[in-house]
Amino acid sequence: MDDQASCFYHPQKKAVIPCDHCGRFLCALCDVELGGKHLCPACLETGKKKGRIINLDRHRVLYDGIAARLALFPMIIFWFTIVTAPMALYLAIRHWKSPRSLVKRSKIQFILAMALSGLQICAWVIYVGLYLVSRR
Amino acid sequence: MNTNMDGRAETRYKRLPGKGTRGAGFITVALTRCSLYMGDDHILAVDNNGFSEDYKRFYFSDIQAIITRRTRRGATWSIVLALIVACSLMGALFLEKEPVRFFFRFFSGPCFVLLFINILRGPTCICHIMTAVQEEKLPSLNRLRVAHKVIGKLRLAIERVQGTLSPEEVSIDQHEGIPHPMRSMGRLRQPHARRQQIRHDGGTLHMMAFAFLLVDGLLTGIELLYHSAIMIGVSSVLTLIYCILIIIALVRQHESDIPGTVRKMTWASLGFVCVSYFLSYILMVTTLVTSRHQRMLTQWDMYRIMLDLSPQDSPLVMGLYAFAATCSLALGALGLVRVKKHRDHSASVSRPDQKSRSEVRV
Repeated sequence: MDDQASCFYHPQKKAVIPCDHCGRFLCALCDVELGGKHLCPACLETGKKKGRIINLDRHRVLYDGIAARLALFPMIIFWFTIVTAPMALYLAIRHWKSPRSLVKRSKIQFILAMALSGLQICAWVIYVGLYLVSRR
Repeated sequence: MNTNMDGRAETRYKRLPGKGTRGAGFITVALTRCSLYMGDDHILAVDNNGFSEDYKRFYFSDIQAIITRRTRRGATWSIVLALIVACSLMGALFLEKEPVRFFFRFFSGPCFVLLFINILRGPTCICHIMTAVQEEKLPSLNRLRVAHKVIGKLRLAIERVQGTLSPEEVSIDQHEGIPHPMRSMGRLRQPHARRQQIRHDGGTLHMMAFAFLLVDGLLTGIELLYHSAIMIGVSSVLTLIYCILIIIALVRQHESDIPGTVRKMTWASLGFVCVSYFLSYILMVTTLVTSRHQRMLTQWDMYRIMLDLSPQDSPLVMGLYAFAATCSLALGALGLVRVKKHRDHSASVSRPDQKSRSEVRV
């Protein structure tokens, strides 16, 4: 074992491959192959927690879909939009860079949400302005 | 590659044909839309409920089988839609009031379009994907034509990873039972054995349901000739009883030894009840709309109008009564015969056992 590289986690075992992310030497037990890459358990855990390994992603919240629905559906009863339009706008701006669907990459729903909620807020501002002017 | 520690999504997924909803039953209530995507080395099953997505990956190297089973769901929908279209057209052609005729004409249009689409989409199926540790339903592959198309695409990708068997190797595996050295079939998972015990059911409930159905059919047949409020009352009570009995029988027949014919007849009886209720509802609405009775202030007035409705008054009512009587008599009689056969068979099977027990006791 003296003239052979040993595993970072198991010094008694012979290293067979380095981790593709951190470069640590790994034995056959510690080597995790995922999507053609060899990772060590620590990198795998870190990647899973931070959502960096796409192949371990099992669930994603679709903020773009939520924002679009929040901007669109309350228009049936327009009074709700006084609350929902700012919420939709906030969601669209806050999660603009958040990971979206794995399969649909377009930001069209965010754009739609921002446009609709912007229009609704404008309509409310005009309405309140006109109301105040008429009161005077 | 799809494993990326820098946070960049690089896997390009290609959409596979077909979309469906997760949820079982004749009418699907769930709004989770399911679709399939093909990645570099796996299939991605996506369940989307509008607010979030759930993913399942099936790697090409792990897939053991994709199983499709043809179902009758599409055919059932076609029959139901065709019945609705036929009834609507009858209403549109034979009713007197123009608004009612217009309503039926308007109603039959979308139903006809749905029927046309359903026929065009072809036969339905259920598709499962099998790996060494799971068997997952693929709701997006719910039409046979689409399923075959997708399987054709997947076959190429899977064969690229797993390799192929030549026709000679396949024939050796099938006829001689010699496992191929590279791809032993012994490694494939055996399907789960069903652990549920098959319960014996004598079919008493089914028999009672069919008997009530038969009596109701006879009464309805008599009503065609002799209209009486008492008979309608008795018939309504009978209908209520056999509806309850059919539902209990459907629950009881699950995982029991009731033969397939009796099961189908019970489901057909439920279908008949639904259709006859639907037709009666249409008749009631049209009667109330076209009724010349001015005094319809209470619920009782409405019932009175319905009770006064005699089969001799209108061809539509006559048709409905004839349909109900024929179906009730046919289903009731055939059902009774089948249940009787099942009971006789059960008795003949259990008798030798009883004999042998008595011999042992002696």
